Amino acid sequence: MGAPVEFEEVVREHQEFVFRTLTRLTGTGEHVEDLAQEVFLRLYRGLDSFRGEAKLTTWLYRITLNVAQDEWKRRKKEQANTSFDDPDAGWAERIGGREDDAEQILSRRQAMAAVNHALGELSEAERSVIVMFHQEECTYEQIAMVLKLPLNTVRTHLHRGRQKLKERLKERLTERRSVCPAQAR
Amino acid sequence: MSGTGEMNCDMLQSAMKQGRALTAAERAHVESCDACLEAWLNATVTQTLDAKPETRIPQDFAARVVARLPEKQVVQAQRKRARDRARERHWGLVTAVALVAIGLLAAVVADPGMMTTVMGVIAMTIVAAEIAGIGLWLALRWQRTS
Repeated sequence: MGAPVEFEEVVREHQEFVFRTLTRLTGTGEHVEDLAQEVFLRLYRGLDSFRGEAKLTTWLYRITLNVAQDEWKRRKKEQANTSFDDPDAGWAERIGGREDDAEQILSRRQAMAAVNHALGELSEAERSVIVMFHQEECTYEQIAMVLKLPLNTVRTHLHRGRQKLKERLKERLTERRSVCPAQAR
Repeated sequence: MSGTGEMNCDMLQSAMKQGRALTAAERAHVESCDACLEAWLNATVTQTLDAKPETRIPQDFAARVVARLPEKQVVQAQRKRARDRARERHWGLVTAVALVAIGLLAAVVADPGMMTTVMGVIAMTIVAAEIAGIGLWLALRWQRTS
């Protein structure tokens, strides 16, 4: 697989899920392509140590999550003013102006934006487990193998992560109603 | 059937699970009914997380990755092995060279008459065999590294 032509095939085969996962974990933008390149370069550099004990996809998942986590650490270090670093940044634009009311927060698009936003506030482990389980439809066993975690820990992260997302969504709803008491029912 | 006012909570919760958009009246009901709010939260979280984000992958992405690949690792590994071999201490060879040197030195300083004795012939044969062995070893090594 070390030959460039063969490796190009590997990239083509897996690029969709790498881009998808990085987009979900780090947000949309030009940076996703750079991160995806980093994922495949790390994969190539590690090919010598790959002995086929695990599936290539399992290994690629691990690298993708590591690259996403490195990106988060880098952002934290730089204290960049991104929406993920500041929970309130971008929220107003997503929700809209003061004319929005609690009903509109319930609208599908805004609710989804709120969940995606709240995803960025979870711990790395919770976020990774949730994305792998829901978006990539991985089983508990696969997630446990990729993240090198016990099965029960995977279950706990998933449950806690989902609970937190629901709580954040509910909080947003309540916050909005208290900001505009005239519009609250 | 449980409900608030005219709303059928079971039907509403089922609709939410299926991902149907809510009407204004239903949204208003969700805000005031704990069970429906919980169902709405569950459905929203699940549907959002299950949705796959749209991605924009450049057509030539794979080619670009390949263009950035580091030098072929096999070549790098071979070079490293060759460097390691060059740095190795070959104690057998060092000993043989030392013995050859001692043998030649002994031959020079020894009485010329010694060379005609049995011991002298044996000693010179050993030195000659060592020289031949060292030459063979160097030839094989040269062949392997070139």
